Amino acid sequence: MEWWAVGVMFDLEMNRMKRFIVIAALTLVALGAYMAWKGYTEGPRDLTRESAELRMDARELYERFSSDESAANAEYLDKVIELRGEILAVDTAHPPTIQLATDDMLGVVSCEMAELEGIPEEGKTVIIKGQCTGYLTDVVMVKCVMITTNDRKQ
Amino acid sequence: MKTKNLIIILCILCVQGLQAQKYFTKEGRIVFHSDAPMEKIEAENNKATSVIDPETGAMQWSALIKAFHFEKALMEEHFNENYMESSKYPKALFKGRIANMKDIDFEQAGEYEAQIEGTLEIHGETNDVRTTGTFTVGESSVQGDCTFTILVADYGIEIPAVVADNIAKEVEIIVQADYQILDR
Repeated sequence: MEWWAVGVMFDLEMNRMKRFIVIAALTLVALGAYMAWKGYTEGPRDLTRESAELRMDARELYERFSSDESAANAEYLDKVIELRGEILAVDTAHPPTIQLATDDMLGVVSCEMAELEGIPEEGKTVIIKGQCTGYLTDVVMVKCVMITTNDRKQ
Repeated sequence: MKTKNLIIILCILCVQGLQAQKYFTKEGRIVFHSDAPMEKIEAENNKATSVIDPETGAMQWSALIKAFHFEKALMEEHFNENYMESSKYPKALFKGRIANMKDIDFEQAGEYEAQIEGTLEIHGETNDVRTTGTFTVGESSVQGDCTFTILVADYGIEIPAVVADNIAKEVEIIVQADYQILDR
């Protein structure tokens, strides 16, 4: 049917009920298309909108990976984890990174931060929330955001 | 007897002193591009690690697949879950050597071309890689740069026909590192 004919039909022939159904159907299709487009073009994952699946100490996470990497991968890979740790070093170059202390002389928990704002200085204890991507010489966390210690009840 | 022991100890210390130091980074940068008719895909990883032993020319790289960042969350999800299966194969590994290490001096400032060869393991598949790179030796660090291409199919990465125009068959990989002397 020609598009213009649909319009004519719509006006002249349809009763209220049919018209309502057509409008509702078109709205749903439009909504579906919009949501698909939105999902497709959505920016990088933002962990401020997600809650952590686990809470632990940075030292413990490092210990698990360095002692049994495949078991640690099975347990922690991809998880959003809230880590408490002591800041060993802060690198402000893009992307900003916080290194959290471990009991190992060489390895740290390396946290790539989503933002530079609000990062405290070396020596402070912090809680950060990030996604665990695995273990090379450090345990690497990405998309990290600060959890202000005021928000946490211990 | 005492003098003999002393001489032996001194010899051992001298040999220790002669061992070349290794060069290392934990903040290596890897960017890859896929330029397909329908879509340009790009991702960046800033947490790659690499070691070079200037004595032998041995060089290693490793990178966590889940540490690659994409502009779009959905693309990152597809990359990890459908193409790279990164929960199964969390790392990419390069083991190789700088074939012309004798032409390169990490203690002498300047720019050096490097012949790089080795094996690259991605998604559980290993292939030979041969390429050239550049080392720029400065005051306090050694900067390495290298660009090469790989064929997606060589690494068992299957692209469904439906998205064949969105993902290129060849991917360009750009590698950059600022190496520091490893003091252990």
